[in-house]
Amino acid sequence: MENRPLAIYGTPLSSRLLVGTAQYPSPAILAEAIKASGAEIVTVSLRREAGASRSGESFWSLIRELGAKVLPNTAGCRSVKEAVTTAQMAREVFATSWIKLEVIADDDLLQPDPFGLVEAAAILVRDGFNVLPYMTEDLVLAEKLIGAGCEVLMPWGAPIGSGRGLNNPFALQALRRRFPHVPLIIDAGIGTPAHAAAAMELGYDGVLLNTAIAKAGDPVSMARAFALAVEAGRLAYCAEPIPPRDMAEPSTPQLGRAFADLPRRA
Amino acid sequence: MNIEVNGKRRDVQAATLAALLEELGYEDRLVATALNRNFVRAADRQGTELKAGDAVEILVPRQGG
Amino acid sequence: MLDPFYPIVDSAGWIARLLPCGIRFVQLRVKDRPAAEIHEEIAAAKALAMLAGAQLVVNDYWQEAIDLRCDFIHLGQDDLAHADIPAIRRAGLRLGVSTHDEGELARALEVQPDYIALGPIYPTTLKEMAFAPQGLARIGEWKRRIGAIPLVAIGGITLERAGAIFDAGADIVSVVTDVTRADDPEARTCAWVEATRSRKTPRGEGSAHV
Repeated sequence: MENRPLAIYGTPLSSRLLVGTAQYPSPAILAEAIKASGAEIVTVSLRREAGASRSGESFWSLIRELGAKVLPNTAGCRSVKEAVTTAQMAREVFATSWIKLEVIADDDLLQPDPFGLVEAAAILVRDGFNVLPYMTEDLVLAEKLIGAGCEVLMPWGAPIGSGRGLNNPFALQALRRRFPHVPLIIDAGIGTPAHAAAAMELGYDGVLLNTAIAKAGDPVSMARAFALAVEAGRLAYCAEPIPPRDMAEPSTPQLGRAFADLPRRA
Repeated sequence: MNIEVNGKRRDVQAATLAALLEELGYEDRLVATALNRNFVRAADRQGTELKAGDAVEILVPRQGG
Repeated sequence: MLDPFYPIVDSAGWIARLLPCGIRFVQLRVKDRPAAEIHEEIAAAKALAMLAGAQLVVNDYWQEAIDLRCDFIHLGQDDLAHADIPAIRRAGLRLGVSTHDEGELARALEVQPDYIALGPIYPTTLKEMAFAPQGLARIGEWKRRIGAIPLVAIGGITLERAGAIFDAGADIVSVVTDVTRADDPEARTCAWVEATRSRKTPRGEGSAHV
């Protein structure tokens, strides 16, 4: 199968790994990790400034220096109104119409509120945004989001920061098969590079992760490991892996075995 | 007058959103503003009047996942 | 992998009618409409196809296809001569090209298309044909020449003839009037889908390594 390059909202991408910018031990490690990851898209947010520090400014200059495309998020937004207003603010500050849309319902799982998500997506699409919705793996939700004008979907692997990997690979596979032509990016819950490779082997177009790199013992090495895993998973998917079987099938030919006609020793 | 800025009540002199940013030391900063949960474009801050009890959000670029 | 059944229609309305019959590969060939309408028609077709998980191909209007972020276009030989192929490639669009003779085949191969169409296989009511019917033997000849590139057969094809056309070497069969002028186009389309679906690996069957 041809390994066709990825394009999101008309922007061609060489890297299928997208990374978040939160929770790194230091700005220097953040910068090194992003470089090691090869990511061309990084997520950012808007927040109230803590205290009198102007840390927001240095963060923003650092991100601009790295040259990555920013994808602002509406993290923490609990309502359609909050998400839409946050998106509008982000568009002005970050000068991009791309928005990672999060409308969150629950404190424990930080699960998307599917109803608010569809409503906010429709409003933002009409207002000219390129929406990348953070969603569950629900097929009906996917259909509604596409119907609302989303051209990319970002289903969770597992709850944000949980590091569990792909909690429901069967549902993710069904989603992939149902919408073969929509760019699908696994977002949230990834813990190790094996999870990322698994996502790519399912045929997903990319993986977005943050905690698994930022809070690893060595974020820079882990970023590189993830880059390799995403590339490996993609190559593997396009190379058409063998299907799984329950019974054995010898890989070495049976014909020409030595000792073939002698009775087996007891 | 008494308004809420980033979740905290405070007394301010400013009568407009633009004046408020100046009063709080944000005038040369890259920020986004919202008034009572509605986005206010940078160009509109001059013309946006504040009244007592208004809730203003002043947000800056930050790390995010 | 491209679906073996490839209907060609002239409106998003037709696409809406045929998608429930299970089509997965469809071309929008809009002719003789004002520019503003073309844009709308392509946008509507794209939205419908995306929702249904079907692959849309836009005939001729490659700039509109790029603007609307479609991912697959079809060009006839005249369109091929005038299109900005590098721009089309930069935009990541896949490309299907029509051919009728050796010269056209050579020109098509130069652009490394994602499929090559050969027609008309049979006499067709639809277009003023500058070329005589190609016949089944030509299908085999073309397939030997283009190898792994999918071969689309088009022109005067009916459901009854489809088997012979696949046997002759075509990978994909394309139709217009056999569907659009049928008494019951939906039923005819369902029959086509049923007849051709077994030629492709079924979607949704069997687990990957999960």
